Amino acid sequence: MKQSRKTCLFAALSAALLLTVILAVAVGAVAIPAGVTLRIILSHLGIPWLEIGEIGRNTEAIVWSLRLPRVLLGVLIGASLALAGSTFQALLRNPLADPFTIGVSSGAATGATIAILLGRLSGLHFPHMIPLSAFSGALLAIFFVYNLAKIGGQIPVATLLLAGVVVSSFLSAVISLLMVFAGENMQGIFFWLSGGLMLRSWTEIGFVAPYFLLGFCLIFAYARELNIMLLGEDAALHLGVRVDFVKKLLLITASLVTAAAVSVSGMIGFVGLIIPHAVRMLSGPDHRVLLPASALVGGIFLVWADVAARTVMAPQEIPVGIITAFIGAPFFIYLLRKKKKEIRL
Amino acid sequence: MKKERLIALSMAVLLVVTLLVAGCMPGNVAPREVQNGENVSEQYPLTVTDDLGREVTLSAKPERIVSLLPSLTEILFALEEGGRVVGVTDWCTYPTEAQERVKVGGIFNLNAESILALEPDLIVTGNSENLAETFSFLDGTGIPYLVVDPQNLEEIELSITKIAEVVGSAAKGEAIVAQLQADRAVIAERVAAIAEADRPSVFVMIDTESLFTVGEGEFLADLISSAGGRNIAAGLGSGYFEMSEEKLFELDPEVIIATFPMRERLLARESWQGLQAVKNGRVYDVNGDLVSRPGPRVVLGMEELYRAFFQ
Repeated sequence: MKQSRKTCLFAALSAALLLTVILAVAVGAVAIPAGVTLRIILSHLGIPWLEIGEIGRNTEAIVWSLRLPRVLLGVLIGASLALAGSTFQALLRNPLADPFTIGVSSGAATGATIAILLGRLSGLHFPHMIPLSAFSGALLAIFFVYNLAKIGGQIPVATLLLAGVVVSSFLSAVISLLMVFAGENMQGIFFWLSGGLMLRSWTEIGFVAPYFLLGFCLIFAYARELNIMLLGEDAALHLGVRVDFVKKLLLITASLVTAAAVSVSGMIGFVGLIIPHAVRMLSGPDHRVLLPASALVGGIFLVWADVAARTVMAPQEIPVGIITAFIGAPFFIYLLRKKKKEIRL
Repeated sequence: MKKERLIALSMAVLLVVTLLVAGCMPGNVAPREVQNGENVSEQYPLTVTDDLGREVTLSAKPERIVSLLPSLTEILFALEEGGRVVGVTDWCTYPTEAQERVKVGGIFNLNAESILALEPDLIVTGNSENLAETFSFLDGTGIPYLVVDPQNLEEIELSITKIAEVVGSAAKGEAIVAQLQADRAVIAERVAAIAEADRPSVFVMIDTESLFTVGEGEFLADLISSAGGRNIAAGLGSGYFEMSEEKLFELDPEVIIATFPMRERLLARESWQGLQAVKNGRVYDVNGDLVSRPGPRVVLGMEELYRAFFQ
């Protein structure tokens, strides 16, 4: 891609993200005039415009403590999932790979389920118990898959995919079993399986942001190596890429990014699978463009999906995972038909 | 070409056979015997209409009863007919004696074999989409089953009367209902003395991970208003649904009720510090069993809610 087109693409995507955030904060289950929303945000950013006094404290809370963190969290989660998705697709050289392929999400969901059940049955509770437990579950799952797949210090792609699928199915069975035990208590577990951004606040942003930012920098630094590795690992080795090292490093990084995202949002499907493909159709396979563009588009997409989740049936809510699948699948089919090209990595 | 026609033909045959078999299932043959059950108390055969509008006929007084709902187990034990209850669900925890009965699973994983092994002559059950398969299974077995699905406090009392009649304890049933009505009247009188404006607005949270709540048309909604609360979700929908957090802030309830122990967690939730219920410490845990089981202890749940609202 030419430098000028690249600049154009990123300028357009950044503008779209900014517009998305502004519009998404302006709409919700409760109607708040745009001017009021703007004043609340500006006054919180330390820019004195007008006295905030005449605005109800709850209106202020809705904008600043509920909507804005939720929208920003949507950007972060969407970006994390799309980033991890494009990384996994490249590393595994498999168009069906997504952030959940190697068992991260089932691990997180199992951790969350155990925490919810423990909380209900024994009354045990400490701050952030469920996200922390989900995160530990995800790490454990990665550890198992990684070690299952390791053969003589190397991780063959096929073994890794298989190990991931096997561990995922095993953990799904564990979750189903726990749900049988949970009976009446399974409402909370359902949330983890469908995914959502409700009841989240600034705390969760603080939890996800470092993983995303560090993960992005690290993966982006190896964008060229990812391009070369798409030619095949042998070819990459001949071209001087430390294939094994890069593979391990990026696998773990992308898994950590996913684990952090899933442990606060539950399993939001489709974003990590279709966004990289959609972006690849626009931008081509160069990871130096693909990675940041996927992250931007993933963020934009999830925010809009969440806007739909909280407004379509307002004041009732729909799990956002349902929306992402509902919009994602037809959109992807449309892209496929329009391009009339074979899907390639 | 020939092969394809063969496949199409066998598909068609399969379809016809399936339809025929389904049509001949014993479950689809409705009992024809019609009798007015209202006045023929404690006389068998007895026919009553259940909450699905089905007519259920019992040829003799039921001696082996299986209950598929905790509230129905409570009703049977309150009628002092616990001795005739042979099977209960995993969730039938009250009274303690009920836990000694054979467990036939929960609402999502009923064990058909253990139900049949108990050789019940009556099954009492609630109504839910999850039970559709159970019902068609029971239709096939021919075991009489009574579906009980009360939507408000009066219907709970009616359901107690009906079960009492079916199991042949009409007098005891009347006594329980009379006591319930008397207890309810005491609270109703106290609530009636409170001006509409002094009744607190209430949000009921029936989950720990989401703002799952109850709108209109469920007995829990009736319980809240009867105990003197104004349910903020009442105008937002019917049945159970998940409410938007923004709406919670807009409506800013005076009291938050949690049916799972959530008080400490909700009071500590940073983003909720602006809610008046949190600021004033008016977040209460109530016993979820008392307010979610449409059985004889429902007045205790009502009292618990009343205390949370006004004391």
